[in-house]
Amino acid sequence: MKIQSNINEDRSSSEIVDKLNLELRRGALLLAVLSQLNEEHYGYSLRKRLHSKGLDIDEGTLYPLIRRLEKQGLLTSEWRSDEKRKKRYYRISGLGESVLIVLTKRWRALNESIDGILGEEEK
Amino acid sequence: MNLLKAYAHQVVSYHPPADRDELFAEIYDEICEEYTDQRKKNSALSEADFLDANKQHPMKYATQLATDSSSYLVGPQFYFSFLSTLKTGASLTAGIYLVIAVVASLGSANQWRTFYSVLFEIPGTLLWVGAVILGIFVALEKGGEKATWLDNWKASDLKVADSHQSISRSEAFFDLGLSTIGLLWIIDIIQFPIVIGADHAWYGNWMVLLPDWCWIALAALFIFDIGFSLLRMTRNLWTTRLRLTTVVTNILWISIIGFIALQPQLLEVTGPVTETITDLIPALNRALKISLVVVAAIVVWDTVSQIRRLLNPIFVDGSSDK
Repeated sequence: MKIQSNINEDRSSSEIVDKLNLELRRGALLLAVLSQLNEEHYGYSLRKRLHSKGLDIDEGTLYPLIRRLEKQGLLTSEWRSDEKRKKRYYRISGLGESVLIVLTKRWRALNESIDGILGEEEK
Repeated sequence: MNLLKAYAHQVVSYHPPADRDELFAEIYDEICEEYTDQRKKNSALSEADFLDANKQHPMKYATQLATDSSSYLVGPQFYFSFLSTLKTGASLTAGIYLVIAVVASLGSANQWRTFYSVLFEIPGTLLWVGAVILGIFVALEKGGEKATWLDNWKASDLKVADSHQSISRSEAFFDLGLSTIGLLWIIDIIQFPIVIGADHAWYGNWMVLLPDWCWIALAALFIFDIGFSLLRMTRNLWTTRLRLTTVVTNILWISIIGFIALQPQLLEVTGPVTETITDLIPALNRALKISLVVVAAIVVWDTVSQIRRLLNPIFVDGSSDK
């Protein structure tokens, strides 16, 4: 009984961690995607680029995010035919660049504060 | 790439027709690129194996791709306004119908029938009210409107809770149960006690003697109490308005219970009866009246404590007032 209860606790704690991790990543992914689109990318090439920099992102997260950013005017896109298939290329817009500069500053300030807070907690 | 194409088609089939072409092109390209990459590492990899190992059920994949604000019927910014409007609309509708039911039945020859027939129209009207409210909010959502009415909020708009005393959920639930049982009994959906037993004989043909207007008033009070208990279950703290409503309702209850207790005879057994049951009826009447007086005393006590709270919000009657 006790073993079963520990298993259930582990499972529920792992579910909570997964959910919170999603929340934690949300803002960070937005910055990562915007920053990488100073070069033109289509969906898969962007995922590969992020993966090569240590950040994995699945299609179910990437495409809705890209669509939202495009709707907000932070990205532009263009369809082109490549080999046998159509590809949609994305690039950061002028507005996106300005937003990225501001958000990057805020991210760094936030990061510094959080590091300080977590550092204090660890002591 | 036939299987990959079929998978991509299946995924986009869950999306609105207008979005399908572009979405298909994008995810089909994505899947093909990924497959080609994996084939470089394992040339024997089949499309089926690739899909099994890397992709979820098409509907699950489609759901993930649809997590976009335009997919909401009523999105997060309107959701609570929608619920709040729905609650207000439903309460107003039920209240208006209750008043109509009471007024119409008082002016009708067949009072109960009129009362029921008006009340039975409530569910249908509630559906219409719900549909209209939903339609308005969906139109606001799809029209890209912002919930600007929430921007003009001021702290002074907050309803002040007197003495910050929390409403007891269990008490509200108890009242809800009691009122529901009372209403169901009045409209003959449930019956208790079914029989009166005396002298090894059981009498099912007994009745409570009350004027028609009294039954209608009881039904109206029970319906009001059901709504009020539900309202209290959704609120955290007592407010002046809630206390005043409780006091007014309690006074109505005390008046009607008092009136019933003053009736010369409450219970009557019809049909052929034995001598024992004839002797028992006055005792049953007395017991019923004593029970009513006890109930009235409890309601009086509740009313007095509510009035004391109203007059002196920081009054503490032994319970925590936090």
